[in-house]
Amino acid sequence: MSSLLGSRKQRDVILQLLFLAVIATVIVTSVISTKRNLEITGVTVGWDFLRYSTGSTIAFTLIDYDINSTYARALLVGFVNTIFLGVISVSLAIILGTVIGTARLSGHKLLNFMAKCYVHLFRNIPLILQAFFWYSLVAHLPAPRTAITLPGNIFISNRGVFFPWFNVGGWYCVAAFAVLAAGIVATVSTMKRTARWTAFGWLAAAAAIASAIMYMGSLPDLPFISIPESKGLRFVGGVTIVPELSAAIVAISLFGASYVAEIVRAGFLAVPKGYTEAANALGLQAWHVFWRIKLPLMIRTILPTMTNQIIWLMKATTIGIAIGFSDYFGIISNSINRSGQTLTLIFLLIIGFWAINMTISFVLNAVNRAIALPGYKK
Amino acid sequence: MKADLVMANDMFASPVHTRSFIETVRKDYFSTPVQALLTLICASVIVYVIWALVRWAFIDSIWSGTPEDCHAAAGACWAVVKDRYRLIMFGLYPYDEQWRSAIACLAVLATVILSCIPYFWSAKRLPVVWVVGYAVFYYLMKGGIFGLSVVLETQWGGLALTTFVFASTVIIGMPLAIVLALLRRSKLPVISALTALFIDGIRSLPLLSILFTAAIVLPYAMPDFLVGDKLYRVIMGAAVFFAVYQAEVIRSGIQSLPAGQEEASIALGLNYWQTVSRIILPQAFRFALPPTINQVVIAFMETSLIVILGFFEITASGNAAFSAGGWNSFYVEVYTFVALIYFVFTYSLSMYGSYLERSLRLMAR
Repeated sequence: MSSLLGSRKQRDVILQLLFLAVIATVIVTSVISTKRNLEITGVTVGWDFLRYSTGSTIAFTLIDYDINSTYARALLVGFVNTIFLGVISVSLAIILGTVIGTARLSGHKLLNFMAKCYVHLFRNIPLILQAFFWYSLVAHLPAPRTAITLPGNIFISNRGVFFPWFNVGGWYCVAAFAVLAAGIVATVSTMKRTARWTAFGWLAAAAAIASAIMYMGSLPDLPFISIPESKGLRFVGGVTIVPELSAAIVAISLFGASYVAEIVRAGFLAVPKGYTEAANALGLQAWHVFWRIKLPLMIRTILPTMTNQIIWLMKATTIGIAIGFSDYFGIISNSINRSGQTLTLIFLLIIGFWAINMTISFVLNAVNRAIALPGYKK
Repeated sequence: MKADLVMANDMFASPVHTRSFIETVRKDYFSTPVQALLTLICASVIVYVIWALVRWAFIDSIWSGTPEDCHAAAGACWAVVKDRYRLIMFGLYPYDEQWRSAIACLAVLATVILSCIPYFWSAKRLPVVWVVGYAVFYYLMKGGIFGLSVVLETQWGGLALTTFVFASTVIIGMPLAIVLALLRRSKLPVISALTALFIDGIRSLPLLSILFTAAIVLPYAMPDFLVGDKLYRVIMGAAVFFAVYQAEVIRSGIQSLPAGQEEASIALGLNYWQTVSRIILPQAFRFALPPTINQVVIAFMETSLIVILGFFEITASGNAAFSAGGWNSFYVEVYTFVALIYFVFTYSLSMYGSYLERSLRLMAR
């Protein structure tokens, strides 16, 4: 018996060593070939190129960038753009998806039918085709001279969407937004425990601080709010959302919403019947049953699936390159063409997306643990 | 006696109340003022959308003619599809040989349909179906046998190229997925840990970056004799990406099996391979069938990403179809046509998937 066990152990060790040997061979072979091929092409791999100027422009930037900026700066621009596009599209997808997923389960048959059509239509057409479609649509909008004008000085044209914005330094805007977001979180989380007015006190305080920050950051010698004005072929003032960005946002959020809707629907279906029956029996109104019982339980059920979905949508922002949006992937691909530093840049691409994914799953797993209800499984 | 039984039956039968049509409408759609309002809004939206679509696509549309005819009309310009459908479907494949492309695509379609029939769900039949279907596709497209002229992969395009990438991804990715799933479940810690690292590592990357790496970086990292054509490297990238996701689907299928299955087969003296191929995998696949179909649908839709790497698949040939010859402003019609091709395939497969899921759930009861 002991000899049999011994031989099994030996076999296991040999198998694992073989496995390691195969992997080591693959790695060593690729390292050797890489070295040889790089010698042939004469490219020296390294990080030095990050300090060189790119000599090219980027259509849409959120942070300062010009033609003399370095590759490192360009990559940062791309990374910020990816996060920006991702956060906006994912938020819109979650909001729209939750509404549609709820409509899927409403007792009303026509509403259910409409939501069902939406889900099937947007799920079964490739995202990139949808992105091409929206981009063509945006590119065929009227020229700035004949732009569509919406109330509040918003202009929609084939050069982008223009709307009024504050003449305030960028970082001050970010800070004010962060304060406001913190205020909303504080309000929502204290609402259940304290009186309404205390909860809204948080919101009022946050709004006051945010306004103060905006006032501090306002640029000298300019009106507080800048309004876009038509100047022949273009608009001056306000902010511009370039066509590439608006097409990408529309495509990713509409596509993402169809997946989110199905997750939300499954989440509502997984809420045990006993909970809603008990709530009804206690005499809660339909609205309260939904808002206080079903929705919180649904969110707890779907959070793990939703985490995967959000990561997946963040990865889907890479289709921006197809319609010319300068996201992280687009900038990497551009830099490869210009600098020839393929290996370093692909490495940075992988690290960048790993960082995004790890952050999302770390934060959402922490949220998942924090809101878990004792005794409620799933 | 018989009469008693009939009476008993009548007693236990539930009181059947058939609602009249008007009653149904009133109860389901107009029971409260809010519901009535909702009904009116939804009904008007649905009627408006359907009417606008019908008018655009059928009543005001132009079915053949020149771009000038289309500009004069208010509706859809299907003339662009009529004029360019060969380009969209077959790309730059030699015009006189395009029938080969068409039959090749039908062969893969037949393969997919056959694999939906339970008769073929066995470890012996399914691989045969796929290998035969794939071989028919490949040799029809490539030629060089039975007097067919040789057409190189660089000339393949449109729906045929999309189909080729899709079929190759599945036929390479599925066996790879099974291997990865088994390796990850291995009791040997080094093997399972390294496989898990590989699977989770690939899964956290966008498919586009994998394809990009396969197209651009792999030629550096591989010995020259292994590099091969860019198309095949991209297909390998897509197959690996499909495999890591599918491996997790299979693994969750295996985990949903009762532990008794594996224990019983070991107790009966079956060895590892017999246990895996006769007991574990057949049952795991049955559990994992709906998510597997989902993965196949996603793999089909994601073939469209290779347009970014410069391949002339159906999305790219669609773009080419309206970008010349004065058809420039009729992109909606071309995209609708391409979207319809994707939709018919993916929608029917996902409907089949959810039908299977329902019947599996019934079986489990």
